[in-house]
Amino acid sequence: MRYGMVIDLNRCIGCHACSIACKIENATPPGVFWSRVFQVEEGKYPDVKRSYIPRLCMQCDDPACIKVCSTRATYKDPLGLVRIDESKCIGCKACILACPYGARSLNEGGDYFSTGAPWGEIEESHEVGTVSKCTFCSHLIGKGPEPSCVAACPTGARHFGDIDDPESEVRQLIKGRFGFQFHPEFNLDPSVYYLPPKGSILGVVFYTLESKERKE
Amino acid sequence: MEVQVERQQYWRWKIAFYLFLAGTGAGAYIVAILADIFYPEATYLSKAGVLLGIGLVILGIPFLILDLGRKGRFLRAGVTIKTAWIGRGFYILSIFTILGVIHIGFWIWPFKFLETGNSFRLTLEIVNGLLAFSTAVYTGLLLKSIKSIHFWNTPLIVILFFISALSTGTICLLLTSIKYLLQIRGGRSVLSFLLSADLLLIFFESLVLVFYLSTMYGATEASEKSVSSLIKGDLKLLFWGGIIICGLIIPFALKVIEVSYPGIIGLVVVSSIFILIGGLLLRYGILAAGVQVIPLLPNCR
Repeated sequence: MRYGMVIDLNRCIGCHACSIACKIENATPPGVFWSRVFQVEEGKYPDVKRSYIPRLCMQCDDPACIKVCSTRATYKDPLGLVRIDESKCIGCKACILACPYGARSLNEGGDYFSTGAPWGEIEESHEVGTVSKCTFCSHLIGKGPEPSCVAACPTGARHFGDIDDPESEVRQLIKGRFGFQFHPEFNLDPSVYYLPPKGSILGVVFYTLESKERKE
Repeated sequence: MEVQVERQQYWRWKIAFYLFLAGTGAGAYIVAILADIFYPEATYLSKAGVLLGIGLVILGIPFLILDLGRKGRFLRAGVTIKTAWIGRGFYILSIFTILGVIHIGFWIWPFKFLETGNSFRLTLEIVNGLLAFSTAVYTGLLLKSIKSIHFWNTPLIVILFFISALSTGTICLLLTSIKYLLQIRGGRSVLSFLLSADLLLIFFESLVLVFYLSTMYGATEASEKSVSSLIKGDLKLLFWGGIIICGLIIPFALKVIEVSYPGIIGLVVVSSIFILIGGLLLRYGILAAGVQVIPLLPNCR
């Protein structure tokens, strides 16, 4: 059993619904994004293309962030998810630098609401000066709903499930549609796979090959 | 799919000061131990070096703590040393500082008997010398362990920081003991030896720096961007003005003048100060140029 996500780059329209849904669900403070959408421009005028890449914590099997954390604030929970115990984090920022996916943010304080957040409880659990990141909405796992970004995606670009199960939807998608991971050269084995947009499947094959070359 | 990159914004001046002070302190301590073993007449030199080395390392620690998001929890940095260099550094620096304070304690009255002709002192010196070596090397290993920044993830950075630590440590020791060395017999030759040794170190440092930058320029897209930002990007003033001219060229030029007109102590002092500034800016430049490999640029920052 290993939780994972598949993001279909063909379907993402860059609407940021996932970013907002994540902010609402997890009440992250200003400047902290557990889920975000990046824009990429490819090509040269007049032959240009803009594409969107949603990103979140890749929940690596062998995470670089755990290796550099000297406080044991970053750990793997019983579900196999990479989690941060904010009460143990000293804010040295080594993990932010070590993560090749830019999944982590430093909570530099601040509040969206002058009178305190209406969420109360969750907001209080974010400690100023510590590092945080996506948890795959682990508080929802087993309780029915999917992670908030998956539920919020209006185009159905995100799929959540067990990537170890060969019969699961996510595994079938990875197998059938050339699912790939970013930065395979770091050997971190991320649990988030991307389905390449139409027409760039060859590009993805080259990306993977090039990364493997770099690794060697 | 193009891989876009951005420079890290998290480890800046405070970490640069910390790396510089820890490296310089460790360098000064190593030189002091070497002076004590090979040149025992110069007790002043070795004592000044020990005091200076420990002092600088202690001075550097607050910079690291100030950089933390939760300063009050800094003791947690030592929870695990399995793979984390921050944790390993925590112990290297702590033990080095504690042993150093014990070493300094030998000079104080009730413990003075431990100092003279005693194998205990020599053992302590060697053990702490190794810890000083570890401190200097650790400043490079800390950066090397960050694999997602290709510019740092190379053994060359460890060698570069180590040579720079020795060089700035020597020069710091020279600066603090210059007044004494001028008063004693043969002091002037010691001074000249230290300065020459330091310029030799700077020469090696320049070679390593050139090798490091040229290797990194050709290594990956991310490391090429790092080098470009130093030699022709927005860090070029700091690189050419601070690291190359201030830290390498001026000290050499002043040495040439000093050879022709010996005895101008002002020149030695000035070139030493330039070397120290160069050492600090080298740390900062390498930190600031660290490009993190992130697949894509954020548009929501």
